[in-house]
Amino acid sequence: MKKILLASAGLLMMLSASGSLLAQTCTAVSPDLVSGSNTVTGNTCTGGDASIGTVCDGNNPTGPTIVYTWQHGTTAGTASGNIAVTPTGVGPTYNPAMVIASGADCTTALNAAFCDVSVADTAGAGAAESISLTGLNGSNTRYFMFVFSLSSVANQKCGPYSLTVGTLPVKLQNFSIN
Amino acid sequence: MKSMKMKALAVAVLGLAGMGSAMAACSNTTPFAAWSSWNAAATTCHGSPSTGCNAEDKLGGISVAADGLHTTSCSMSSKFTTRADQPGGSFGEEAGVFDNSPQKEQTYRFRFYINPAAVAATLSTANQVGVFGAHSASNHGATLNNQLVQMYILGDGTGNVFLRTFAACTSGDGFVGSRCLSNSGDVQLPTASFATGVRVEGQVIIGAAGKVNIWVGSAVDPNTPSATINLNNAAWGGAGVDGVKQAKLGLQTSTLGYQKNNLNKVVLFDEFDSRRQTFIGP
Repeated sequence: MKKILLASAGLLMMLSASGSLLAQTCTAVSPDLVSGSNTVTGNTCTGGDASIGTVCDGNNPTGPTIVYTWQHGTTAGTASGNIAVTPTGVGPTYNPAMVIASGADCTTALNAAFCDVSVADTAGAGAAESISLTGLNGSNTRYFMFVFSLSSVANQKCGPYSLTVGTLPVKLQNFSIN
Repeated sequence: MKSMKMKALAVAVLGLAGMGSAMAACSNTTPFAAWSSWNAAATTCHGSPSTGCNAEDKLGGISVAADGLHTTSCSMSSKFTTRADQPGGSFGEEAGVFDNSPQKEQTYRFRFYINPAAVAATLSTANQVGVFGAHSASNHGATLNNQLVQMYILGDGTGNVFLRTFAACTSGDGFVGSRCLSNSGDVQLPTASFATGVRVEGQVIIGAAGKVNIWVGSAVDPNTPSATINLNNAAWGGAGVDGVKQAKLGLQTSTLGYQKNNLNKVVLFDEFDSRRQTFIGP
């Protein structure tokens, strides 16, 4: 009887210790993010994924998540500047947070034990949040940025925003010789 | 009614040496012996083999006896260190104890006392740590999880500490990632009570019209919880199918930020109690 109990206990302990949030999937916004001049807009309330439970580094979103992605080329470039998420609308209350992780696909990055850039969440409700691209110099690497919230206040969990992008050494898509 | 009381580990375990001796130093050498995870075999320990250890020590956490909260003599001192079993060491991930005595309970009440004073200043939304979990035997939900209740502490950067509770659900208040959150937000732990311990009590009711209630500090009216999560958690239960099968007390499921900023900082736990039906109180 005791052996059965201990075996059962061991199974449960492994279940908990190995992380109890499993099999999360995600889909990144298309097309890929590109450097600089374009302005991207989004709304985690209406366009976010509410199935995402835990993001790399153990972050637990309190509202839906939107994922962006870009691919570095085979020759490592230098990412620089920041990606900023600015809550929009009249009297914005959205309290954004972001992380960046890499992986072969969105799900791999989401479930990575460690983020490539740890969470940015210092600015508070309605204020722009910025995450540094410095150090993201992996060659032939696909990066994913997860935009969500860590606030438990109802009107801060999601909202509309605009997004500005620093310099991304993206993969060459095609070329021609005339 | 005795049959309604499932388990009272407080006196039997954490407060064993504390009977009538409010401020006496803890002298209990096996303070966690009644917990399911207790393993006194030093060869399996990476944390504190000289004082015995539990399974969590293997994940870079240490749980040892300390002077008690709420007038007991012994509490559980829980902290993250670096993992000695990995080259170069990595940050600890868990430091706690398990109670595997629940039998897939459809209703479950629990209570513990906590002193987070040593980590309060560094806590934030990015630096948070789990302190208690009531888990089902299996994972359920579209985003698979077993967290019927998972409680975290986090801060506002000024020393104030808040309790955030996620509860497994297929729908309900604050639904995200097959978990629900109270619409009333986080519950603040009263700073003035840190030294003697802040009481945290909870209730899980499994069903299509399920509920998780939370009482903190001086909230002692069974009908007036500090926070409530209304949810559908029927997928995590069913008589003989699943329900609360394990309680996990101590530091767990933290963010990397917490691990980095709170190495070797102690959080104290004490006076754990769990029951099927009756309100526990202070």
